[in-house]
Amino acid sequence: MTQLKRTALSLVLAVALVVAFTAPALGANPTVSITVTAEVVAITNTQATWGIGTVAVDAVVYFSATGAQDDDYSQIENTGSVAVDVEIQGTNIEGGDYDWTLAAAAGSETYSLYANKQATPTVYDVEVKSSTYVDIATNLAASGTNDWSMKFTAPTGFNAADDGNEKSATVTLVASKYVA
Amino acid sequence: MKKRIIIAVVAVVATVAATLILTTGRVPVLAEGFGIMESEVEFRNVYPGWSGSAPLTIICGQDRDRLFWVSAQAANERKLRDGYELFPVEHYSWIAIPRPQTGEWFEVEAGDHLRLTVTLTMPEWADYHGKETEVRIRVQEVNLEGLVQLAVESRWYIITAEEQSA
Repeated sequence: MTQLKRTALSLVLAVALVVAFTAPALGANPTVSITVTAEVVAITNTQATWGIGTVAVDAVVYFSATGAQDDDYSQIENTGSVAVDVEIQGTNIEGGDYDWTLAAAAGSETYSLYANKQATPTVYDVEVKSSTYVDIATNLAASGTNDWSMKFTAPTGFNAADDGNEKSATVTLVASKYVA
Repeated sequence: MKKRIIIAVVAVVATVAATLILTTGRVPVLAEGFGIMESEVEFRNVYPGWSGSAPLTIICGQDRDRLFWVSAQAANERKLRDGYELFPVEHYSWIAIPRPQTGEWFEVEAGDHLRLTVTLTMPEWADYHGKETEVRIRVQEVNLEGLVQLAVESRWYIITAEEQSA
């Protein structure tokens, strides 16, 4: 970490290094500039797996070791040199005879997934969507951490033919430089 | 006078240090996880027929070897640089990301890094002037077993030149 900090400090000196390219001799063509900002964007997350197990209709299960609510079960750390935004996106649950669609509220063959934010750890109000990314941590400073968890709500109904089938989904955390 | 000289010397040393970092390829070490070294890349005054490249350095943490998938992705519209618009999906073919020599993914050993060169080429026929756009170059770890996947993105700003009068 010390080495990273030392290097990061050095990298700050390199920020906004401009490499100017002179356009080919085509007369009216403008000069193109390429500016590369040398800052490290990096994160880690402590918990990667979640075996929910067998779920019943309407079951609520939390992202934790036991399935019970654990608001700081997982932790994101900004291991880079610059503040980042971290966004989250989910997928439908696939496998078996019927996929379960990710939606704002559980329904037939439809499940919901909400995450919490460190600022309000007991409130699971970050709706995880499959269509877009939503913030789970904003302006997370270098070396900063963000505890988080998720709340899964099983479909209100699913086809009996799907009983006992194994299904899976993924959740992706994406970090990019925070820009005010 | 002495103070001015000292400031000038410091400025020169800083400039040399910055240049050395980018030219000697010194890459930071990450104890865990992974990251990239280029948080933002801006191409300004891009015009039809122009082509240029920017580096993308993937840093693999010392904890284990990793596989990575690199792609161009749309930015979240709420996260765009102020005044910018999404780089059109139909123009993603302008962005050439190298493919791994073998297999589908880039493999980077623990504690090592991989330098890629990503090329932007605006076709001669392109009619896309005076645009300020943003697209993301995403590096995602390929984790076949985990629920939670991690990715980091470099923010690419592509600004095209105004149309040249004949």
